[in-house]
Amino acid sequence: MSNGSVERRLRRRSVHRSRSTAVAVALVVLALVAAWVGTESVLRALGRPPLLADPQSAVDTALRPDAAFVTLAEVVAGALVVLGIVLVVLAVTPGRRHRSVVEHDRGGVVVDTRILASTAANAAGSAAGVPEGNASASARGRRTEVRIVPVTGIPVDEAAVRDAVRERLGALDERFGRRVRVHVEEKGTLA
Amino acid sequence: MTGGPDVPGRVEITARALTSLARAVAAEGLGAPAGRVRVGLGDAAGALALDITGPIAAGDDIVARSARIADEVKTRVSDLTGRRVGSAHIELTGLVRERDTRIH
Repeated sequence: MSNGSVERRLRRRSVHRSRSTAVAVALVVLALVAAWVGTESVLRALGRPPLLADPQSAVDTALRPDAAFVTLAEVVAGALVVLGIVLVVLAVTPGRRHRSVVEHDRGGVVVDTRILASTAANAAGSAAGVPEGNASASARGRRTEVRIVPVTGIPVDEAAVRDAVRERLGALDERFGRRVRVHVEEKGTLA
Repeated sequence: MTGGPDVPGRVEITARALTSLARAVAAEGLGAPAGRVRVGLGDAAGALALDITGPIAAGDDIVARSARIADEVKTRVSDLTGRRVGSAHIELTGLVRERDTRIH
């Protein structure tokens, strides 16, 4: 794998979700609030009537709250708390997409999780000798789970299926084949 | 069913084919015409379950003979299809006499 900084950035950008939308929205809101405070301050300094509310009288009302203002403040505070939690979650979580980087000597290669799952299902189906629709798989992170509905009367060797899936996924990248779980349904289908 | 990693492709036996095969085998064992024998296929913990309904050829000790026939049908179907057969359940609906079979 080449380690050019552009390629590293590209790989990271492909696997993780961008935070630019959240950042842009938060900054626009912040800029609007700052602009309003600035405008009101200038208007008060000039002795003109305020646009929305005079900052000084707004603070005074907040310090000596009446019933209507308390309700309003509660609603606003609730909205701000929700917004804050959303922003913190967006900032802290890795924001992974369902993709994985594969080591390759020519450029960055990114594989979608669904491709891993269908590869695993295909390998499991041919190893178990069941029709295409009888094998399904789901992949999540490094973990792959395979479910097989056997054909009635033909036992499925779980260990052989697991090995086949490991081998096929390992050919993509050695990390994928490490955690494979095979589940064989008890009831089979006739054909 | 696959022929191993060296043989590409796979062989599938449809449920209908399995049913007719089981019916022919059961009719042969019971000594009854295949047209009067019904076979239902099911799944018992991953193995084939046969449900045979039909008449049996007249003779001595029908009960012991049906038990033996159930065993024979199980092994024969298993040999022919290559699948595990878990159980064979026989329900007798009547007797077939010699002259009856000759008419058929």
